[in-house]
Amino acid sequence: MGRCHYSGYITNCSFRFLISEKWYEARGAVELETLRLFNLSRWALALVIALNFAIPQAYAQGGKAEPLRVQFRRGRSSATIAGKLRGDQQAEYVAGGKKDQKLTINLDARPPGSITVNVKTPDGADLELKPDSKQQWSATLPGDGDYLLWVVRSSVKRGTSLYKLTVTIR
Amino acid sequence: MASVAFSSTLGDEYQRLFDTCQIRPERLQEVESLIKNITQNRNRYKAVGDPLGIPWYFIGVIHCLEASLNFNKHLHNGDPLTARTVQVPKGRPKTGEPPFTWEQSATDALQIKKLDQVTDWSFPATLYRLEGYNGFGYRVFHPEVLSPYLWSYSSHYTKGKYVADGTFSLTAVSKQCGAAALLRRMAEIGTLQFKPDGMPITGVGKDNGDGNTLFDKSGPLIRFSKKERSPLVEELQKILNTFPGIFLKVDGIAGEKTSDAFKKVTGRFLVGDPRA
Repeated sequence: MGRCHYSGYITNCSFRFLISEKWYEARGAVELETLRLFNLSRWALALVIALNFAIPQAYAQGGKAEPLRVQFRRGRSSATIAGKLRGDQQAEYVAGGKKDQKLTINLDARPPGSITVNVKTPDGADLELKPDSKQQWSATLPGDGDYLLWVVRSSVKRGTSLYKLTVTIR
Repeated sequence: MASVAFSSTLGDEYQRLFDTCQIRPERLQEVESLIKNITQNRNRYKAVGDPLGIPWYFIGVIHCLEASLNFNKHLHNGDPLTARTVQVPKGRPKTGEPPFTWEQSATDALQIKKLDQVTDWSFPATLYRLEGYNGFGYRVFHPEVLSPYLWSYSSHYTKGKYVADGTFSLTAVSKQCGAAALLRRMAEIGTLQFKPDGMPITGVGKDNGDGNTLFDKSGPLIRFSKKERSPLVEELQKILNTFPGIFLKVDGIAGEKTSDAFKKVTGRFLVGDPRA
């Protein structure tokens, strides 16, 4: 069962695999493969939307009530996550880090500026991020443990934002 | 990850919430229909739960929440049994080849949460395990929302929900009945039986309600006594004090005054009162 990226319905529509076998590895967290969608033709998008509306299986289960762990591939210090947020939704991720490591967050949002990222330390305090550029922020980690990344829309009004978040810890 | 340790304070909170839980009247029919379906499959839940030492109703309510009582779905998260899970937890069961039987999958789902190692199935501990099955994100990150996984359809829940794995919305409203709400109604209508000490009869192993574990075989919880103090008597005295014209000292002793007040309300003295 997966969540249609466009309709928002939980669906068993197998056509999503036409786009990518790893279409939706985890609800709320879309892997790199999904980014190809950004370059899909209008017709392909329309087809996916139509198929997902045609076979809506509106399960109301929701999701696991815990942040998704940022998965760094072996030997890599960066991971990229993409997703979509509607209205007041916020995506929650967790990444392990050690004292004095540098955390860098690169955020590409559509519409631009519609997404912000807040980071909390393992103690629950806000981590102050310093801007490196318009799309990039960084901070030195104050201690060992899991850091919580909250990806939120700048406005909670109706609307949808897409984001691509690259997290680097080294 | 958000982990929360069970404590007596947390247990008290679960007990208080369960004690004060009221099913929303407009949802009552739906809740009872779900309970009927869960109860019909009791033997199937027992077949998985008994070897693991897990009560059938615990599995039943999880099945309701994760898979809408569909036996073609994984108990982990409602993904189809024709493949390993795709959503969190991903790639389960690790062993065997799909399609999995519901029993195979359910056993795996319960074991990865180490529920087969649990021995305390009191209601507070049960609610703690149920909340943990979904995740403690509400409690840790959104304490203004009592987990709908437990309390949806009850007086304890209005809005706020993880709409997908790791994605929270404060305005989204759960359209599923919570596990605690289901258990509360099960207790109300007698689907679940309780021992005199308040522990549910789990049906696991020898805990099947035989012998002296049932109320009707062990007699009333409160008996006339001028000497013994009991928290149960305190509770009774508090309740009696809510009736007009009754003013009792809440001392936990079921003596003559308490028995008199009891008679004013029920027409009978307490069991054991020599005046009875």
